[in-house]
Amino acid sequence: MKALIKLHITNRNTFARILFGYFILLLVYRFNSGTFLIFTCGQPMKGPEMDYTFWLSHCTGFPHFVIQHYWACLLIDAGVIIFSLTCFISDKSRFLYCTLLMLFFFIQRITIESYSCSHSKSMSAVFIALLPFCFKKDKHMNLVVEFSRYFLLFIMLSSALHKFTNGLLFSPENFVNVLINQHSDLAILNPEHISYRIAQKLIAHPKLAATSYILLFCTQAVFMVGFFTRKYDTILFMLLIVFAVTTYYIMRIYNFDIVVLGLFLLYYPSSDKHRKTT
Amino acid sequence: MDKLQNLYLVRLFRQNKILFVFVMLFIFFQGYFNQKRVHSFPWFVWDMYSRTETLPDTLTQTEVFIDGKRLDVTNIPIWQEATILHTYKMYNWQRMNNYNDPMDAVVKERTRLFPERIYSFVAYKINNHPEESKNYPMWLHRYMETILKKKIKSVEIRDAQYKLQGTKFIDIHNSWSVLKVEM
Repeated sequence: MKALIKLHITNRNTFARILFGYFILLLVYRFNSGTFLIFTCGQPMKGPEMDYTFWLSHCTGFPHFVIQHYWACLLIDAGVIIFSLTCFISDKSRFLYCTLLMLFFFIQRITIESYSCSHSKSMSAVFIALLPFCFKKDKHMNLVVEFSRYFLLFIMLSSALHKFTNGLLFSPENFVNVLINQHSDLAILNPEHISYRIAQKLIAHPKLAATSYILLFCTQAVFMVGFFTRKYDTILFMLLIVFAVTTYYIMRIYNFDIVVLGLFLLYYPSSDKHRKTT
Repeated sequence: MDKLQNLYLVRLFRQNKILFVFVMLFIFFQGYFNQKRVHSFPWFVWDMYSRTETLPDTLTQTEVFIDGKRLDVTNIPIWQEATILHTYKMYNWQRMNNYNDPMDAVVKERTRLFPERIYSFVAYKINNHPEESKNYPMWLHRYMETILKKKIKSVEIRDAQYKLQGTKFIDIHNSWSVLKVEM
């Protein structure tokens, strides 16, 4: 257990390779799932929802231009792949490649999410995770690394707080309703699906569902510890993995993007005197 | 005093004032969007399963038929399923509003303090236009061929109603075709 708690990455380049390696894995999954622009090219209707950044992007006109031209879709997709590979390989010019990666990835995500009318919030987590690598100097990068770590702690904690302030902890049986609504499509189209079989067990046992909801709350609320100490960061990282896997299997919700941000829980930069000693 | 000096924001202020300003701005907007419950990239408003859910009496389920056979959309990758169902919902929303984008009301609200020409510009860029919606069925047909990797003669989307009995959804045999493309 002690060895597990001390599972730290101290080298900047090793950490970058792990993070960009994971990012490339996510890209492979996305490509396999058809979430590249080349698959959505030509979709005529947009759904920017209420997001101000999406609105501003549409006012500039670039999402509309990209989605209407196959060569532009191909160029943006290729840019994302090439710059993520160069970020993985090159130690020397990573800050430059990462800046370009963020630019291409931004155009790709804004366009594809607008034109597939599917807004994934976890895109923010990926961007905040890439941000530190746009800085050349260790001193600046370390400051942004800390920001990224705090951002992860905040999003987990805020989700727990919403549950608390909405009073759902006092009526955890509400989770049965969540499960029924969430899996209505599986109930009708594919009742043999693993997610629905797990959900059915919980629906049939409301006390078990309530317990799992409280466990979900605890998993998120425990990230508050991270604001006071770094001692338990590895445990928080493990909890994040458990959270991402269970929400994928039980709720059919894809939270693996947030794990990119979770990697900052394992990073103890050797050049950061402050973080080494606290 | 030492503890205060070690606080992240204090260290940030001492080491890099520009970064400090950016982080403070980020925190300000995070608070603002949290308060408004509006997710706006790159800020993160996350309240999944944090609201009281009620169960409907009846539910309308969208069903996709490829060459007359119902496609199990839950068996294709989750992003493809989302793309099909969400773009279809957008199409149906436009169709039910006689191809006048209901988002126009939000555009009006958000540009109310600006001159009329700003509203016209934003509405042109944000709203879906009738000709765009009318091109959607053809795109859907092409998309289905791409993801299913086969030639398709017809794509039909039907909405079907189900009644919730206990925890099960019962088919009440009330369904209607919303969109059909034949090649």
